[in-house]
Amino acid sequence: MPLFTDMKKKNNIAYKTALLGILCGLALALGFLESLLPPIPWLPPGAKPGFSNIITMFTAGSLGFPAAAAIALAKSGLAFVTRGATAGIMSLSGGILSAAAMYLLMRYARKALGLIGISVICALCHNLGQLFAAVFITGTANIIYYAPALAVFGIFTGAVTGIVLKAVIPPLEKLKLLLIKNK
Amino acid sequence: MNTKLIKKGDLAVIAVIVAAALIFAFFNYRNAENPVAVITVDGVTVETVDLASVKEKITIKPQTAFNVEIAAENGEIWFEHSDCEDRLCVATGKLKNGGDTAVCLPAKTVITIMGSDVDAVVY
Repeated sequence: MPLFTDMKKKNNIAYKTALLGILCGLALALGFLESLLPPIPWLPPGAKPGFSNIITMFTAGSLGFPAAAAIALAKSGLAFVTRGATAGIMSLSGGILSAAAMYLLMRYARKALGLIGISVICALCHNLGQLFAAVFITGTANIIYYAPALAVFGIFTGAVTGIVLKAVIPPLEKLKLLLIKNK
Repeated sequence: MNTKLIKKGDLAVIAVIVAAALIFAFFNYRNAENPVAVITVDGVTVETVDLASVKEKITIKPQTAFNVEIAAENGEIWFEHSDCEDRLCVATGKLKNGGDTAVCLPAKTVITIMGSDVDAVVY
């Protein structure tokens, strides 16, 4: 049985849009929940666990890259409106790079890697995108001093994301089937 | 094709990341003997502070898009105040060890602690 119901065969735009809307909502809600957490010591303030990546990964695996990128775009749009331009750019750079990694790994690396490995790499891609954006904004390469702490933190948060994703795939798949039934 | 939670490849990926982080940390986070704080704004170094020579608290106000205050005392340096929206730079706290970095992205301002040239001696 495939991990995800392949959406490519179902050419129903309305269905896909509705599903993407629900997934976007879930991702934004998780992002908001995360913003309520206190800052984590030893890490650059602003480093977050990235719970919404659970949803983005599911989207990349079942709806493909454009849909996952749309979620990243929605998230950065919200960051832009609520937290300013810098936060928007940081969210977008990390989000798009990790969405691309999610799609490619979900598609081509599933034989070699489990969900934990895939989501750890995606978490690091998110960090990498943000580090590049920060270097670009400040014009200072010194920011890579944050990289080791972020990488180790990314292993933990990525592993958590992978474990939770495994657990929530069945209910999310049910959500999809529910939408098809009520079509 | 049912995807498993964890495979051997995952452990290899994690091992490589941890090793890379440790190697980077080993070469960059030495406790600097003469820590020098470098302040850059938009990629240009605007001020270097020899932290060991700072006796009394000093305040630095670099030329940025808005009001940013950096303070140094007792071998430590930190963002004291910023008019940016999130103040993550202030939340970073005090820097004193080599490699410690605080960033105010909206102000394009970065403080990094570097060892002075003495550290460059080959062991």
